[in-house]
Amino acid sequence: MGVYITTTMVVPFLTFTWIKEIQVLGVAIVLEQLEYERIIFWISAFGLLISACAFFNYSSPKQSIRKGTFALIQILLNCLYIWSYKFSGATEVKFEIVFEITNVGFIAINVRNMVMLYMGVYFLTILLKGYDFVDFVINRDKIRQKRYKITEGADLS
Amino acid sequence: MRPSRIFRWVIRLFLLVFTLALSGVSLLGGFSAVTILDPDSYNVNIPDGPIVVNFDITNKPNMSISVPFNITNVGVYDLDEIILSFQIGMLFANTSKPLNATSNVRIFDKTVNYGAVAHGQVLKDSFSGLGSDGFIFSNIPDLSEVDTTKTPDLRFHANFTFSAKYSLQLYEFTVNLINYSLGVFNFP
Repeated sequence: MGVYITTTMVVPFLTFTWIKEIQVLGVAIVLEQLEYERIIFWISAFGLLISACAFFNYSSPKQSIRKGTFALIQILLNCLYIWSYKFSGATEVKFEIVFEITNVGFIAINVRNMVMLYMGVYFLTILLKGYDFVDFVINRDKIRQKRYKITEGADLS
Repeated sequence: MRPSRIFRWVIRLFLLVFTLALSGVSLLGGFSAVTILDPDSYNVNIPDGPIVVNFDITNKPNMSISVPFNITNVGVYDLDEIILSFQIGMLFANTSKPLNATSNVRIFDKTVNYGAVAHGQVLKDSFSGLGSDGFIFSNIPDLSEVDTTKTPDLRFHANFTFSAKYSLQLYEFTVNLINYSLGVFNFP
C-alpha cells in the first residue's frame, strides 16, 4: 500500500509542486494556479482509491474471488487514474513565461500520445486480470482443494 | 503446466517488454529534452543573429523580414514536425478614426513547417517573408492614414511560436512569445 501511495500520490504531487515555478535565466516559468489545483485534486482522488484497493487486494487470500475482484477493480481504477491525467489537464501542461511581472508568452507540453500508449499496455493488464477472475471462479473447487490440502499437510509444530 | 499458466506468462512477458520499452522511451525522451532545451547550451537559438527587416509601408512589395535560427538536435530521437510561426502587429495613430485613435493591425502572418531534424544533426536556416509572401497588404494602411505628428509614427511588435514533436512523436511542445517589441519607425 505504501508503494501505491508513493507512486500514485507522493511522486506526482512532488513533481508538479517542483515544476510549478521554475526560473530559467531570470525568467519565471509558472504553472497556472487553477490548473495546478485541478491536477493535484484528481491525482489525490484516484491515488487514494487505488491505494485502498491495493490494501484489500494484497490482504485477500491467494487465488480467491475476493482477490480477483479487487485486482480487477484496482486495474480499472489505474486506467481511470491514467485517464485523469488527460481530463485534469496534466497531459497538456501550460506554463506562463513571466518576465518582470509581465506575461510574455507560454510553454506548452503535450504528452497525450504517451498516455494513450500506456492505456494500450494497460488493456493487456485488464485482459490478464479479467482472465484471472474467470479462472478463479471456474476452478474454485480445485483451488480450494489445493489450498486445504496444503493446510492439512502443513507442519504445525 | 496448465494452459492458463502459459497464457498468463505470455501476457506477463508482453507487459514486461512493453512497460520496459515505454519507460525507456520516456526516460531517454525526458533526458534529451532537458539536454536540447538547456538554456546554457544554446542548442535552440532563435534568433541566431540580427533580425533584418524592411517595414517601409510606402513600398509594400519590398517589405521584408529575415530571422536566422539554429536548432541543434543533441538528443537521442529525431525532432519532428518543427513548425515556426511569426505574426507581426503594427500600432499607429489612425487619421481615419475620431481623435486619431490608435489602431493595431496584423501586417504579417506566416507559418513554415521545417520537417524533421535527425538526432545529431543541425538545422541552420532563416525564417523569411518578402512582399505578399507573408505580409497582409490589405491590412497595411496607406501613409495618408498614419498620423505622423505623433511619435513614434509606427510601433511594431511580434508574436512567435515554435513547436515540435519528440520521442517518436509521443511528446509535443510549443513555445510561444507574445508582444515581443521589434522597434519603432518614424517618417522623415
